[in-house]
Amino acid sequence: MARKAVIHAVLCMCVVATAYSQGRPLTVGEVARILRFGGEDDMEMPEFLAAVYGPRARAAVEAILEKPATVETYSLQLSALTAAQYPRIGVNKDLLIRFVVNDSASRLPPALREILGVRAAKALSTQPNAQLRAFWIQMGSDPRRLYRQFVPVGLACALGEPAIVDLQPMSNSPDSVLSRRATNVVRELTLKGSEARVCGRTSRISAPSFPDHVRPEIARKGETIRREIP
Amino acid sequence: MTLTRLYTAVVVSIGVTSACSQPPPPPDLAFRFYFRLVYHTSPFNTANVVNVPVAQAVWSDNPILRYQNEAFNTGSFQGYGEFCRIDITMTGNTAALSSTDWPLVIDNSGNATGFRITQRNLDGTETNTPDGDRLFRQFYNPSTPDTVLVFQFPQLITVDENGNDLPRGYNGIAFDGDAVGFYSPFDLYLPSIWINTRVAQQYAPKTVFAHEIAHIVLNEPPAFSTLWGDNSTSFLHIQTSVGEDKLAWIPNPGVVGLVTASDVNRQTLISVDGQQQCFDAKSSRYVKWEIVQ
Repeated sequence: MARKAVIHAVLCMCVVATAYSQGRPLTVGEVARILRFGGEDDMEMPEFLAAVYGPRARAAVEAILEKPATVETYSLQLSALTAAQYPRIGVNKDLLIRFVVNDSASRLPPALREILGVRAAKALSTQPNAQLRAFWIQMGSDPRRLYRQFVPVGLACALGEPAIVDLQPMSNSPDSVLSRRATNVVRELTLKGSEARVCGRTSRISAPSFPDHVRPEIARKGETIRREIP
Repeated sequence: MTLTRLYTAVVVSIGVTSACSQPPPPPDLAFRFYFRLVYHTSPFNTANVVNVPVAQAVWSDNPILRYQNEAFNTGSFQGYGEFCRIDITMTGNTAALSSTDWPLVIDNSGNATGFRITQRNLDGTETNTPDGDRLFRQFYNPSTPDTVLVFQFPQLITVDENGNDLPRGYNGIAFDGDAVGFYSPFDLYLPSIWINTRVAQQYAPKTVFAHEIAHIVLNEPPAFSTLWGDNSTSFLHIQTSVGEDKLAWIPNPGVVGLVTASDVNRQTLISVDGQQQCFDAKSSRYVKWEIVQ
């Protein structure tokens, strides 16, 4: 009993220490300020958000994505979806799937709806989460080309090397969108194994902690933000 | 001294005294900025997004420095400020791109709309695509180096690091040929403007062209300063708002609103050194000094 209490106390201390070192969660306003700092559909401040704040940004990014997609929320949601491509932030996959699967329910004009949906599919394709296998298999027969194009990479990132079983038939598919990409991914997995870059710019193993530092070019831009939001 | 000479001396003296207290204004100089439009004939493109009359109104009829004089010189005369007028001239030889010569990427509805303009690299940087480079070089004319090309497509696309197409969500984008290392694809280091029609139609169909001009003609610092922070809102989105439609952020999260060209906004603009921006514009190698009658 006493031993259990000690273990529990140590665990609590670890959790508190971890929480302290990570700092408090960012507010929606702070995340919005960071994302908008880069300009219309900027891709660098989302990377900055992931590298500097990581999981501290999760709740706020999810709150932004939970709002109905409208013309008013479009730009901020687009930036939030770009940020969601970094598993380090840890955005819930179901929120992203909603933008892809239910895009016809959106009140946005079709052109804007497609931009958000494709960005969400891109974010899903970088998630090293085996639960996404069924989603990607189903997406392989989706008529929408811009969504279907992410299937090979999405499967590879979700499963790692075991994805080859699903990808090899795709590489012989009459669907050129799938076959060309599946062939490339199978080659990458075969040559490099667990080191293959299949989760965006990184491997499946390193995806959850990527990016772990701020690129110098982005650091310069984000200097003011880091001072304002430590 | 004759009476006539005395009279003349008095008149001249009065004239000189008047001139010292309030000299004649400087010549009405303006920069003249030349553009050539290159647009795709896709039925999904929108012909009227590159709006020259609004750009002219923003940059010539609505000079911020003229306002600055009005704002601060309300008391005794303190001298004339320099105007920041830019005369927008669209050359007549517009080029049309056919779907045969320049096929576009198919979107989710099965329509050919997309043009791959940039690509993301594994190191996180973004550069021009071979398509973008080829198109730019086809229309760049070395004999008219100061004519800026304006490309207009229904949908601009960035190719991600895995070769997938990402439709972009901006109204338009300007590549500043002077800003080496900031964003300098098309290795000729020449400026160009690319309009993303389907998005611009929703947000800034009248003013996106005027806005993108600012990215080229004004001096964008390498680091985001106050002046250019928040998507350059505090400068460009105020400067390009003349009662026309304009997208701009307001401070509340998740809200997009129209910026009003109010006194508060403009005085903020002035306080963050908008005048220096206009002075910098004069040194741009893409504008011509000409006396506008």
